Amino acid sequence: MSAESRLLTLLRPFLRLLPPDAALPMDADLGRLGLDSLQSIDLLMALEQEFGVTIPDEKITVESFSTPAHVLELVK
Amino acid sequence: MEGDRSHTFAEAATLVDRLASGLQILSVRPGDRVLIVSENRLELPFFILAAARVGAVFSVLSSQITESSFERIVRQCEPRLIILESRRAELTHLCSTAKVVVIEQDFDSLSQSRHLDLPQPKGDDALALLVFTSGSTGMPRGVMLSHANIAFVTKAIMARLQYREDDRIGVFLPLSFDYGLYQIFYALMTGAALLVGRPEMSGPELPRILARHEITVLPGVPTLFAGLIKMQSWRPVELPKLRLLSNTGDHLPLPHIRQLQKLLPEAKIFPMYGLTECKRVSIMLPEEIDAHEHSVGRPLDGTEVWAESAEGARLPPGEIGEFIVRGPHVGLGYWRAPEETAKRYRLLPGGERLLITGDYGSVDADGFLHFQARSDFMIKHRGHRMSPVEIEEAACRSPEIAAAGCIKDELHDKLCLFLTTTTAERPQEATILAALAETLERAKIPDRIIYLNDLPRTANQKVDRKALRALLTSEASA
Repeated sequence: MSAESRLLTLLRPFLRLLPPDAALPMDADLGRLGLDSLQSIDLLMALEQEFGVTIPDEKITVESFSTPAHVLELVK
Repeated sequence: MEGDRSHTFAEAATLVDRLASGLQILSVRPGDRVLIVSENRLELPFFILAAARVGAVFSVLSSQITESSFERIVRQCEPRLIILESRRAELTHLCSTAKVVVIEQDFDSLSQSRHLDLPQPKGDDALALLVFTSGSTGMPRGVMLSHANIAFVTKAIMARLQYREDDRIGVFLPLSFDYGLYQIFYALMTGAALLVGRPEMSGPELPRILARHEITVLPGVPTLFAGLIKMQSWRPVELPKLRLLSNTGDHLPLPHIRQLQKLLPEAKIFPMYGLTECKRVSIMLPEEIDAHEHSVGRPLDGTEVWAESAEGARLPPGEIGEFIVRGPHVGLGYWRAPEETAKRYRLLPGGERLLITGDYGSVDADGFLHFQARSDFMIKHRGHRMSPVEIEEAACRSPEIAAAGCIKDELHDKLCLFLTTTTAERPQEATILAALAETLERAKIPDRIIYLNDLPRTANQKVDRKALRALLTSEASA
């Protein structure tokens, strides 16, 4: 599975306002789909586990959790 | 301060005077309403103070406000001026006859307005501020607060929290939320520096932002502190400067207080309790927590709180009744809503107002308040106040939904929506939530949807919220 599709699978459970059958494009607005700042902490932990990386602090900004594309940047 | 931009108090004073002149040129007069719809940003405190300086009544609305709520507020308060961020420029067509200022376009020119003589401040009892919250019917209601209310409560709160001139306050609460807004007044009173942050910053990067800006004072709500606990347990950042945490909006669970004490031994924690109608009811001092673990603290100095029976009698210590608040911080009522005002404010002979809180609890022999329950007609969830009725009504707009009942599961901090359907097939949770998100602000989107075959009702056919709560209790014990 590509990093992109692994990421989208990981993201879905965090997006309470995204219907299960709806598409999740890489430029979707994650805040609008239900990701809040507290959940983005859980997402960060889940990312490190799924991709087996340690994301350096300086890479994380407020924009990091704005879209799937930005989240993907964190694990690249 | 915001990012790399900052102003000294002297620069800020000049800027506020210039902006105030600008507002006057836009014919904003004493008593006129000024609405502001914006995310937190450096310009916001200056607009707020400028509106106050010309004697206008200002109100900061959530940057995520829905068009329908905005429209209802505009209709109610007939503003002279509406200040918007360009990202909400689509609201312009709902602004009726009000003048519109777009912050990004107009701030620079307004702040260079030629200096005009500004009006003398009206009396202290003049209306200064409207804070819009949900009324019991779900209609937005403007809580009216006077200059005297704000001045009194600011001093009373600072008497407990004691911000210092060398403090640096980090505001990550929206300024549309009153405890975020009041940080401006605390900074002005004490000379502390104010970092205008944004709610999105209270996620994974919060500890580093606190460290980088050497924040000493952090006002927050339980979700902000829950995030801070998570990050500091997982990947701690040294925060030796952080000395004062104050919690509002909702009850900070005792285990969270204990974890914060462990993770941030330098920081003192002040649990607090309040309602917008009087801003703040009580504050617990850090050294009082151990002896009064389950209390929300003592009433502010110069104010009084007691529990009252259903018959209106003042109850002795330890007995549970409805909290009644008395003091110079009790606001003027709700904007143009005499019936709702009469329900929540009791006018005494002589003109003094008492606040009927709708919250239930007891006062112990030492004067500490013990919170028991909120009334069934108002929910406070993650710092936002809402009427269950507005969430139920929004849910019933979907054709598949027959009836809805909304309550808060206090034990798990979850907003629960019980639904019955018109069809045999039950819509998926996300479908319902997405439909709700069209008409409700984000904070009002339920955390949990529970389908029932029948919604319990009281004898007069109202949603029986007590029975719904009982369902959750039986579920928890099952």
